[in-house]
Formats: sequence, C-alpha cells, structure tokens
Amino acid sequence: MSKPITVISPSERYAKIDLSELWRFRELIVILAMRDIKVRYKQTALGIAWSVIQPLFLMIIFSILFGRLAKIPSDGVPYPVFVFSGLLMWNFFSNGVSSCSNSLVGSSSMISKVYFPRMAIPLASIGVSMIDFLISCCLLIIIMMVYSVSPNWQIMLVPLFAIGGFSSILGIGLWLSAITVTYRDFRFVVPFMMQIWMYVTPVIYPVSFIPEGYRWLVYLNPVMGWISGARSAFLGTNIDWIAVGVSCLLSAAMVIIGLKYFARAEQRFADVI
Amino acid sequence: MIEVENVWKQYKLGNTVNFNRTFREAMSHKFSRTNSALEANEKFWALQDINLSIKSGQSLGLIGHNGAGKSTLLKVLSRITKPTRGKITIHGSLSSLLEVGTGFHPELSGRENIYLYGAIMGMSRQDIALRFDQIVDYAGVEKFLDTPVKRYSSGMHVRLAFSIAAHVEPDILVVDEVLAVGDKEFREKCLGKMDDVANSGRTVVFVSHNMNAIASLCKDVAWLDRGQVRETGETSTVISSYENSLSSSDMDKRAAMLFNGSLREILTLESMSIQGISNNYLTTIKNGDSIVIVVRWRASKNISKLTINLALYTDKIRLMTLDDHQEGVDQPAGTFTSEFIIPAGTFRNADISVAIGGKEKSQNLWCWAEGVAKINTVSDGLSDPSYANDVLLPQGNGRRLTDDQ
Repeated sequence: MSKPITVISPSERYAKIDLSELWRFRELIVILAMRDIKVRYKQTALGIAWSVIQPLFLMIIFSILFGRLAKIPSDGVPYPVFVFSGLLMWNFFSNGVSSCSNSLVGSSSMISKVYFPRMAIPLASIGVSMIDFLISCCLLIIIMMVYSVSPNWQIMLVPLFAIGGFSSILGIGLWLSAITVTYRDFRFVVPFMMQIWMYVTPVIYPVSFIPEGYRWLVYLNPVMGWISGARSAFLGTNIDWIAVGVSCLLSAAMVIIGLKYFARAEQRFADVI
Repeated sequence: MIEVENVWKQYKLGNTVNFNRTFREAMSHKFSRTNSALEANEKFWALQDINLSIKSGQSLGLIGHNGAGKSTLLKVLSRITKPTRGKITIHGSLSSLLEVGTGFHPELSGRENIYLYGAIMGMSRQDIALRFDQIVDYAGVEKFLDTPVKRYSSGMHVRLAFSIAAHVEPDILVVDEVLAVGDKEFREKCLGKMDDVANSGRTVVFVSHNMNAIASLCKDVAWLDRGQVRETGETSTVISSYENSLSSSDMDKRAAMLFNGSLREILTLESMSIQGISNNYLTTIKNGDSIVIVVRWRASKNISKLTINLALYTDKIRLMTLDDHQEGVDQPAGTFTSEFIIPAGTFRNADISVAIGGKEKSQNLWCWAEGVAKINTVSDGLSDPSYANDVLLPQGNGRRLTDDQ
C-alpha cells in the first residue's frame, strides 16, 4: 500500500481549494450537517414544528400587512400563495447565508485544534436551511391546494432553481464566513444586510410593482432569478428566463470569487480565529 | 516519515490576539503611518529555523518550557496552521490529538459523537463502524452510549475522546499534552495505548511536561527552547541536559517575571531550593521523602509585618498554603530565608505546582507568583501505601530562618 505524501509549505497568495480532499471528507460534511439538524430542536417542546410555524406566521403577517392593508398586487394569484412562494426561496437563501457566515466563528475550537478541510463547516451549515426549504415546499403545496391554485409541468423545474439558490448561498456564504473570521463586524452586518436585501428583492411584491424605468435594477440582484423562477415554477406562470440567466452568471461569478477568497483566507484561520 | 526543513512560524501579536479585530481598525491601519512601527514590534517568531527528521516507527518526544514552540510545531505538523517559511514533507497519514474532545457536541449522544469525532479525525463511517465496539470498550462507556455527552462526567468525556483518537490508526500519531487531564489510571492507559502504537511500527510525536512519561514512551527527544531546537538525541541525555538547564540562573529570571503585585518592587526572589538543590525547576520526589523548600529573598527596604507564603497546587486546585510566620515579622532590608517543610507521605503520585509570595500587613502590599517550580511525587514502591500523616488534612510548616544582613 502506498502511503500518501503531504507537503506543508507556507501560505500562498493564489491558493487552490483541494476538491479531491473535500470529496474524501464528504462524510464529515454530511455528519456535520446532520449534527446541526439533530441539535437544532433539542430541548424544544414543539421540535420540528417550528420549521412549519415560522414561515407560516411570516406568511400570515405579510398577507395581512401587504396583501390586505397595503393592497400590494400579486400577479393574479391569492396573495398568501404569492408571498409564500417567494418567501420559500428567500428564506432558503437568507437562512443559508446567515448560518454560513457564522459557521466558522462558531467552530473556532475545532478549527484551532483539528485539521480537516475547512470548507466542510460552511458547506455543512447550509444543511439546516435545506431541510427547512424542503419542509416549506411541502407546505406551499398544501397552501396551494387550500387556495385551489394548481401547478403545471413547470413544478419539475423547482430543483433546478433550488440548485441555483444553493450556488448563490455558497458564493456569498463562503466569502462572508471567511471574512467574519477576521472581522467580527460582519456578524452584525449580515442580519441587517439580509433584511434590506429582502425588501429590494421582489419577494413580497411582484416585479410588475416596480416602475418600468427602474426594473433593470432588480435584475442585478443575484437571487432575483432563483426567487422569481421558483415562484413561477410552482404557480405555473411564465418563467422570467432573463432573470434566471443573469442570476446564473452572477451566482457563478460569486462562487468563483467565494472559493478563491476562501482558499486564500483559510490558510490563516487557525491563527486569527 | 516526517522531514521538517527550515521551518519558521511567525505570529502577529496584538491584532490577532485581540479577538475583536474590527474593520475600522484595519481601515485606520491602512491610513495611518504611526501604527506601522508599532505593528513591527508585535510580530513574534514562535518557531525559528526548525530542522527535524523523524523516521518511520520512531517515537519522538518534544520537551521545553511553556512558550518554547512545542504546540506551535505540532499545529504546523498537523496542518492546522501554515508555516511562515520552510517546508515539511510527511510520508503517510497523520492524525493529531492536540486537545481532548474538541468537536464533541454536548447535545449529541455518545454514539453520535463517536461518528462525528471519527469523521473529524478523517475516518469513514465504515471505519468507525468497524472499530465502534473497540472504541466503546476501551472508553468504558457502554451504558451511556445513548446519553447526551453533556451528562458525561469529565473523566468519561476524556476517555471517549482519547479512545476515538487512538483508534484512528494513522501512520503518524501526534499527541499534545493531553495527559494533563484525566486521572492517573487513565493516564497510564493512554501511555499504554501510545506505546502500542509506537511498537506497531508507527510514528509517534509526543509533547509532555512529564519527563517520566517521555522517558517511558520515547527513545528520542527534541528539546525546544524559545522557538529553536536546542538539542536532539537520546532521551536520557536530552532530558538530563534539559533538567540541568532549568537549574541554571534562568529560573530566577523566570520567577522574577512571574511575580504580580506591588510588593515585588521591594521584595525580590534571590533563589529557591527544593531538597537542597537550588533553582531546579522540576524536582521528582519519592513519596516516602518529606519535601523541603528553602526560599531566599532580598528586601530592598525594611518591610513591616512581612509574611512569606507558599502554596502548592495541582491542576489549579490549591492543596495547601503555608506561611513562615503567621502574624508577620518586621523584616529589615537585606536578604533572608524562609523554609517550608511538607511531611513525607502527604502526596501520593501528584504533579504539584509551587507558588510563592509575600504579604505586608500594614499597607496590605503583596506579591505573588505561580508556577515557580514543579514537584513530581512518585511512588518509590518501598514505602507502605497506607503510610500517611497522622492528620488527614494536608499539613506542613514554615519558619523564618535567619536574618543575615
């Protein structure tokens, strides 16, 4: 049996992520994600029900505030269905990015005492949001049945948009997780940023709500395509392929930047954390 | 096989030590020149030009003072942190145990944690499943497998963590001072396990302050001193030169640096001897012997109502405190000596840390230093194990000897 040879050398400016090593540690990623999922509702009375209650309440509040009182249009579908179909993807993105960005700082003892591919931690931290996303998908189907909104073949495209959403979480999350190690300021910046981001993204209002002259601005949003795409896929409305295309490009760019930044920053995590 | 070539490691003090490095600070650093001079001073070489060659099947002990760079070297070896310069080539898989139980999740059960910790150590699910029974058996936690680890006693916690790490079966096992935790029985079990690992032809790199452990486990020792390899070679040779160096005047400087409190400006430590050997940092004493500690001081001024205290600790727990005069006596300027005697059999096998200090009653001035010296008491195998002091509470006494102006 040949023995692996490891060469340890100083930090490099243009470091690469060792993807084959990450693959060898794939079980660690799964186990870490399982840990977060298992631990999440430990010692809670309602347990996993919280994953249902939280988005449901948000939907009810938004429906009353924006649907009933502010009378925000909803492209011909009942507002609760409309808003939930947007929140579904938005929550995936926002929770994913938040847990990703705090993940490394939260595992400081592990990082400073054990070696393993550091990327396993932010990757695994997305697991919880993925479960929430799946639960919300089921919930949305129930809500659609209640409001008798029927989907068409496009519902098959939902996984595609979920993968897209995942890629933007990864791109932004990796970068944020690495930078939070050095600058803890981002722990305060991220929640604030996500809140603003939600209001500038057509989640609780349709794109048609924005004056035509400013609509192009919405397309610069890297998650716009995934949110509008998932919504249209569920509700069977026309998919805005331009938005999807732009999000595709932007997310790919973010993943590349995120990976590069992470690869460079991870070399000094243990010294800084 | 491990080849360490010209390895340097620099740490930045200040910003990195300060946990909350903020964006604003970094920004102001970028724009101000005044800070750059300061920053240059804040760099610190933890490792300086380390060259080591560890052969397959060799068990190497690393010794040295606190802050000599032992842990940094282990961190670099186990790829946790990158060297600043130099190169290390490792042939074979390496697994390290730098701290027992990092990665355990308190809410998860013992069973779940075995899989979690195993995965962190780089084992696959299959590997873990294969060794599961051995791990559980070795740790002795069968009954508590489905109990959350937060309900484990600290001993169980440590046993389980070590057991998993010991069953990873890497080609190279790197172990930091983990034996400091846990009871004696566990320590011996750990040593036994590491001995097995070493005997099975694998490489062990082991850091310890316990010279007995090093001597029993390692054939070769590297002595690190302020980031440099001071000596490498056969265990007994290196350990004895290390222990000799501790008895040199270095200890005084160390002790002087250790003192806290305002009295240290008037009252300074001249020398300290344990069992008649002066300035010996680590003393090994058979538990059939009484311990005699003689401390020489210099008072630069007259000190009214001075008491000299000596305390013995193990694992931060104070075992006993002695004073050389209960009420304190007026001490004229000059040198003086305090003697403390702890009767034989007060301690059975223990690692004891010595703290000393003085207290001035009228103005309530004091000085205090911990970790001035270490005493290891070991069983001599001769004295009756039931032999102990007549009183159960640890006792000893101290007295002011001479006022030799």
